[in-house]
Amino acid sequence: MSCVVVIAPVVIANWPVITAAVTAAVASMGFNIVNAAAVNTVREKATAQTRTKVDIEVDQSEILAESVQGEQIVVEKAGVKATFSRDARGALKLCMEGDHLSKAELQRIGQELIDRVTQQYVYHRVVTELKDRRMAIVDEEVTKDRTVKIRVRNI
Amino acid sequence: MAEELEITIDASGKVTMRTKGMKGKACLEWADWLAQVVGNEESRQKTGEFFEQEQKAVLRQENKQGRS
Repeated sequence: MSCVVVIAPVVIANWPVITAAVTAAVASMGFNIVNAAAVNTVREKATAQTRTKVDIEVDQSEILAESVQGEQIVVEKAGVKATFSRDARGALKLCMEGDHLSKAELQRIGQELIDRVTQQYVYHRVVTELKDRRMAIVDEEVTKDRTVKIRVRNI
Repeated sequence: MAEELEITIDASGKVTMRTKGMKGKACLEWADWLAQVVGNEESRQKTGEFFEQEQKAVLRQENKQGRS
């Protein structure tokens, strides 16, 4: 028998899992994780007039509360700063800030970051669960449009 | 035939899974499993192979009943 199923992702994870997904995903876009001190330096350099800010909430997400105590992950690339955190509703939130960039440009970069984090999270979750069900990956490829294709078989 | 899954994760994290070589309702169980692991099911389609196998099962059943 055979069937085809399509699933839209929902990110439900604790903060360490989110951190791992963000760390892996942002590196592929050339972003670097920065510490708080470095963030403040970046802030000081920018003037209020030139800095644009956009908040993006990931509706289909839930960050488990017990794992978060005001944590955030800050990444940066060429004057664009992205801060991942948990919003008041418990969803994943991304705050994008950048100099000399329009809100639309920041929104586009932010959405790509979220997509990559989501893809990374889904990949890790699927592969982990497959191993638990004694399925082994026999083939894997990443296409030009960043789609990941995996073929698995029971051991 | 070994059970096989072809899983595609697109750039936004959406997952498409095609099952191969499953016996009985196993492919539907895998579809349920994926929905539980990843998120919200958008669509589910039984392929030609699914109906082919269902047809064979019905014929086998009819043959058994015919013999008894």
